[in-house]
Amino acid sequence: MGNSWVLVALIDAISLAVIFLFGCIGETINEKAGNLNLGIPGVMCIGAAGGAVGALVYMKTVYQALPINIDEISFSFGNLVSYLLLMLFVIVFVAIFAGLSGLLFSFLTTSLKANQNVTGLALTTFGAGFADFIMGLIRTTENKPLFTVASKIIRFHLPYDEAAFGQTGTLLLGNGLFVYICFALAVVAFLVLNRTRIGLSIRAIGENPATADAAGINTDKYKYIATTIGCTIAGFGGFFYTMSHVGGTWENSATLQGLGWMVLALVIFTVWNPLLAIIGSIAFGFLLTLPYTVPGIGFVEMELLKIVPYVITILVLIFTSIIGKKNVLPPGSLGVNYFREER
Amino acid sequence: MPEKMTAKKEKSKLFHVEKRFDMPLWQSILIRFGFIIVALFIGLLILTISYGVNPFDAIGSMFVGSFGTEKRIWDFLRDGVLLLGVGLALIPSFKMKFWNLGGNGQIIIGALVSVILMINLGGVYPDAVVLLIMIPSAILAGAVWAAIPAIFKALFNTNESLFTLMMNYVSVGLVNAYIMFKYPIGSHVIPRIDDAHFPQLFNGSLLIIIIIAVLLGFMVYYLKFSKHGYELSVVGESMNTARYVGINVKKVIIRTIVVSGALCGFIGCLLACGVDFTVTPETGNNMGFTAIMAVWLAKFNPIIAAGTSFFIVFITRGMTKVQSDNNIMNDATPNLIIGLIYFFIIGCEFFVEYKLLINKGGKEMKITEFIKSLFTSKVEKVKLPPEAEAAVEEEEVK
Repeated sequence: MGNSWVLVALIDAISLAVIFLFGCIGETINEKAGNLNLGIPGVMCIGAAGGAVGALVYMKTVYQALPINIDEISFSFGNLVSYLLLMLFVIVFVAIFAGLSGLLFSFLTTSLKANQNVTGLALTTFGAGFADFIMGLIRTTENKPLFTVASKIIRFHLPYDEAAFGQTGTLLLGNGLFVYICFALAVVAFLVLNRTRIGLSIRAIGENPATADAAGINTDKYKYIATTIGCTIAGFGGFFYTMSHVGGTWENSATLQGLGWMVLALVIFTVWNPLLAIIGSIAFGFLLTLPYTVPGIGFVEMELLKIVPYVITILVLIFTSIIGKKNVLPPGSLGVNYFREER
Repeated sequence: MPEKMTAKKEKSKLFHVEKRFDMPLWQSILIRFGFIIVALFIGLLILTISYGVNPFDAIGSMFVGSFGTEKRIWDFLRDGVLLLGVGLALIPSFKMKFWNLGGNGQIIIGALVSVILMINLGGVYPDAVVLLIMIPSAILAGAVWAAIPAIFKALFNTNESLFTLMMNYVSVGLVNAYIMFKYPIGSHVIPRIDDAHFPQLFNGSLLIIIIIAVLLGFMVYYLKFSKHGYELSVVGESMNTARYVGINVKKVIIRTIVVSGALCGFIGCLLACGVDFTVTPETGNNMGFTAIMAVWLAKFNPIIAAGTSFFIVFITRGMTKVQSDNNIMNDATPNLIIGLIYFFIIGCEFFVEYKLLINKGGKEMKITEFIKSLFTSKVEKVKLPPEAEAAVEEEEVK
């Protein structure tokens, strides 16, 4: 395989795709339960803060006792334990931070019946502020190198013969563990949503909560479950952005917020299907890296290329609404709260 | 058979929620005010704990941020009315239950068109002529930007919140492309344009304030007394009712959104030629979203929206001042605290709109009654007929 610019773009695209895919799976689960969660950019920022806190706790405790040589990682027992503990710390902290934000969203919209659009926008404002705030507190000068080290460990991949496989090898084998977890998660999410009883209940609530309620499904309970789990998953997108994509750095929440809004586009683009989301997220990642990788592209064309994902999303939105088939349309009661006593 | 019946007794829930219709205005205002105070208190507490800010100084700085100098007061008023202007633009669409999340994009496209005209026509023709071309063009641009999603909503019921959201990014992309086209080298910003500024009255803010005040009056009339306003509120209440009474729903949707987008385009024009004298991808400073918050808090009432807009601007400016006074480099604080306040206000709407009844021993009571009952040891016994009482005693013996 030649080392063309397409491959280079694809390698970058995979890293972006993981951010999108985590967010997209999360938002799809949210929307399938009828919650149009516009707070997803905020949730991703909160997840990023959670991931950074988790990584810092690991660096300050486990890494002191069981350091990993990041330049030359060998398969020793100590390294394995240390590595797994990092994963555990990060997962627990992201789940706590992002999960709590999901709980907050469902508490406000499901229990307190607040408008979803407004709550989502508030969550985005809050999440962006929260992430910047936490990062400002923990990213002190002495801590900064720790994040770089943690990021290198998170990005660690199994050794392979780079000379033999070339860039195709890098594309398929050169990714950190979370990349593969993410793609697996998309499949799991698809199966849970479409092949299990819980998934059926969630989808029923999203389509028509009154009917679901009449059929004996506890609408509030499932909305809580779907939103909290969905937000937790989306939070990992934010974590992956800071700790892997940009290598443990943090300027401010603006870039991540922008990616978060693209997630909302991606959910539409992939017609609420986590399996299509795998392809969709790679396509979005590819489109996003394209302006920087296409050889000899002009500035104006570069900016216009950046609009393409959104224009395609709009076209998909229009196209699906014209077709009007049930399996490509948004969930029936998307964005509408359910109050049993309302006519 | 009868045993089964008793076994299937319905499980009583601890809480029961009921829609409330009877809350007096003063009480609802008091509740909202109370929640805002609590939110501010928590926000200040966070600042005190993490940065050691003196909370009393912070409250002082907040007022200084909005009212400290004459210029600050004018800027506060200008920012407030601009936010109100966007809010006024959004109210008709929200009353129609059309979730126009594209305010940002409509503002930016209005500003972009204005700037293009300012650059190309300014200096060539007199300023007045340029302005006369510019303002209608910006209004048209905003209207078109909003009409695209509206037409698809009317014809194919395409989801409008997602569509308008996407349109925001398209407009930001167009601004970036234009900047790259016009200024390919250097820092990629459009320098301050010196031609075709919006006319000034006393200072840069007064005329804008007057215009928005007129707009406020117009919007109150439009929503309350005009046929258009009536039609759009019927469509918002129920599309089926609207069709039944012979309203052309498609026409109303498109017309209302065009009004909404046109006003947003006009605000964009004001920003371009009256405030910023340039256009950036951040033009409008997310007002399309902030205004949603403002008008939602105001229950889509234009006059109350004026109050909520000024309140949001007050908090934003105040927090920015607190931050700069205390040398907090991290500019997250305003967002964090504003987000907190939003949550509290959103949460408090529940207590204004719904009644929470607590189930205690099969009896539903209000929260206040419940708290009272916790302190009074005597629980009122329900009087039972003598036969039933005997049965209860028998069971107790068992």
